[in-house]
Amino acid sequence: MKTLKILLTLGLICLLIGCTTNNNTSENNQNVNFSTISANSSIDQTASNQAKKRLSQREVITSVNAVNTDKQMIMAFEIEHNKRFQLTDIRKDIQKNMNKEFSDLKVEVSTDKKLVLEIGKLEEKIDQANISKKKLQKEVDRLIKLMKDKT
Amino acid sequence: MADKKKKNLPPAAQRYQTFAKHREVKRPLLINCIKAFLVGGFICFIGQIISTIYVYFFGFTEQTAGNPTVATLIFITMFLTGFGVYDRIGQFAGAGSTVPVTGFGNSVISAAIEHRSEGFILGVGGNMFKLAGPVIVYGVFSAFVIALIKTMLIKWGGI
Amino acid sequence: MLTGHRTWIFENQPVIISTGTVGGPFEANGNIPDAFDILHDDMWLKQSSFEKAQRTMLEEACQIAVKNSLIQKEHVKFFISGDLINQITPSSFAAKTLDVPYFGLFSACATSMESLALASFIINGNGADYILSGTASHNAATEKQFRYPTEYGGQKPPTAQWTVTGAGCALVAENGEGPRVTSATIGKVVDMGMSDPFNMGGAMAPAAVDTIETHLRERDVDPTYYDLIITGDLGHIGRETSLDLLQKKNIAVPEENYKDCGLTIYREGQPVLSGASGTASSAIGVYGHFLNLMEEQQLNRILVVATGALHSPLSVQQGDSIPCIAHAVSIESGSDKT
Repeated sequence: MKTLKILLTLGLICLLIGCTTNNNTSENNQNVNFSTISANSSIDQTASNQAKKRLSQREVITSVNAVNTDKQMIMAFEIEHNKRFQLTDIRKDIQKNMNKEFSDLKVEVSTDKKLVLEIGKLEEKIDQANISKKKLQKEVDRLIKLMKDKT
Repeated sequence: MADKKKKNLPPAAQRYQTFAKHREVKRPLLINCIKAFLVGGFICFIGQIISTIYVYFFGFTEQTAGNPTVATLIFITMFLTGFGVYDRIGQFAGAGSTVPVTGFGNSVISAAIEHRSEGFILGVGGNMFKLAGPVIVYGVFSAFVIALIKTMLIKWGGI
Repeated sequence: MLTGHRTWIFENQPVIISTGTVGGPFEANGNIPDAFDILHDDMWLKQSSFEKAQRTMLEEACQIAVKNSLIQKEHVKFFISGDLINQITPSSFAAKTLDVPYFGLFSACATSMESLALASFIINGNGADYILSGTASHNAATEKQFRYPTEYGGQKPPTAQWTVTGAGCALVAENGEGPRVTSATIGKVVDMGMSDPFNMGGAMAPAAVDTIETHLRERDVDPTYYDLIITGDLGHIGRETSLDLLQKKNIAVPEENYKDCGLTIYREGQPVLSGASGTASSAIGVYGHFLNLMEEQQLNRILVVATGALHSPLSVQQGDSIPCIAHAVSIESGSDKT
C-alpha cells in the first residue's frame, strides 16, 4: 500500500511536468539547420528560402527543409525534443502563419521525420540541378500524398 | 473488495485467513515494478528501432510505420513463444512483457499452440482468443462508448 | 474395523508388494531421480497430446508394479485410480488398456491416498486379493485445464506450485512381503474461504491438520508413534501454516519428522516456486521415495496425509472459495511384529 502511494505520487508529478505549455516565441535562434537553395537553379526556390529564413527565427525549431513549385510549397521541420508535447499546436500555428504569408501558394507543413528526409533529398537534387520541373511536380505530389497518409 | 468478501465468511474462516496471511510469501512489489519497467521499456526501445528502420530504409512515414512495426514485433513474439522463451521472460518481467503488444501476441499464439491437439477448427480456431478475447471485446466496447460520448458532446455541446 | 468416526483399522494388514513410478524430464533433474523406475526425457512421451502422455505414464507405472511383483496381471482384481483431468479420462483410458475392473475416483491431489485407503479396506474385508492403486498427473495438461497455456507469459506469484509430471502405482495384496497398510482416516471437506488458486498450500493446510488431529485421536497414538508424518503437496507455504496450526492445537509434531512430498521431489534452484503439486506428487513421493527408505529400514512407521484442493477453474471464476480435503493412510514396515 505504501509503495503504491509513493509510485502514484511520482507518476502524478511526472505527468504534471510534461503537461506544462511554454509560450515563448523569442526571436534569434542561432542553431537552426537549413540550407538556402542557390538562386541560379533552374527552378525558382525564393519562396522556400524565404519560408526557411522565417521559420529559423523561431526558437523551438532546430531544422527546416522546404521545396516549392509554382503553385505548391511543402515544408518539414524538426523542433526541440523537450517541446515535442506541443508538436501539434506548433505545427498548426506554423501552418496558419505560412498560409497567411504565402497566400499565393498552397502550403503543406509536416513534422514527420520521413518528410524531413525526403524534402532534404529533394532540396539537394534541385541545388545540383539534377531534376526537371515535371519530375519535381511529381515528387511534390507524391510527398503531399505521403503527408496525408494516416495508416 | 477482498475485505467485503471476507466479511461474508464464518468467523473461524476469517480468523484462519488472517492467521495464514503471515505465512504467505508476498510478491516483491517494488522489485517487480522495476523489472517490469525495464523490460517493458526495452521492448518499446526495440519497437522504436524497428520503426526507425522502416522510416529510413522503406517508404513509411512516422505515422504509417506503426503498422509494420507492430507486425514485426508480433512476428518476433511468435518465435519467442514457440521456442519456449517468452514464458520465462514473463515470469521475470510480469506486466513488462504482458502489457506491450508482444504480450497480446503471446496470449494468442500460446493458446493456439496449446490447443493444436484438438484440431484446427474447434481447437485452434475456437480457443485462440481465450486470453485475448476480453482485450478485444472491452477494447472495442470502450471505443464505442467513447465515440458515442464524443458524438453527443459535438452535436449538443458544440465542442 | 471402524474406530471413532472415520478411521479404519486394518486388522489383516494388507501388504504393498510392489510399486511402479514414472517421471518426466523435470523430475529427472530433481532431488530424487532414484525414486523413479522410468524417467522420460520428453514431456510428450511421443504422444500427440499431453493428456495421452499422462495416460501412458499411468499405464507404465501399473505395468511396472505388476512386473515387479510375482503375480500375473490377470490376478489383479481391481484398479482404483483417478487424476486431475476433466472426467478423469487418462485414468479411464489406462483402465481400458489394463483391462481390469475399475473404480474411478476424484479428490484432486489426495486421490492417491483415497485410492490406497479404499484398496486396503476392500482387501482387509476379503473383497479382493490383489488391487492396483495409483494416480498420474502431467504439468502441461494440468496447466492447460486449470490455469493458462503453457507458453503464456503470465507471472506466477511465489505461492504457486508446480504440477508433477509422473505416475505412481502400488500393488496391494492380502499376503506377501512388504510394507503393511495398518490404518486409514478419511478426510472431511474443510473450507476456510481461501479463494486464490495460486495459493493452494494455504487453502489445504487446515484440511491436513484436521485429518492428522482426527487420526491421532481416533487411533489413540501420539505424533511420535510415527517416524515421519508426510503430507502430499502442501509446499513451503502450506507446510509452515500447518505447523503453526498444529502448534496452536497443541499437537506436538516435531518439525524434523514432518515432511512434504512437494518439497522432496525437486531441488532448490528449480523454478517450482512453493513446491510440487499434483496427484503424482504424493504417489511418487511415497511409492518411490519413502517406501524405498522403509525397505532400507530407515523408517518403520509413516503416516501419509495426501491433500487435495477441490476447486475447478469454473468454480473459481464464479467466485467460490477452494474447499480442500486430506486423506491419511498409515504404512508400517511390520518389522516389530511377527
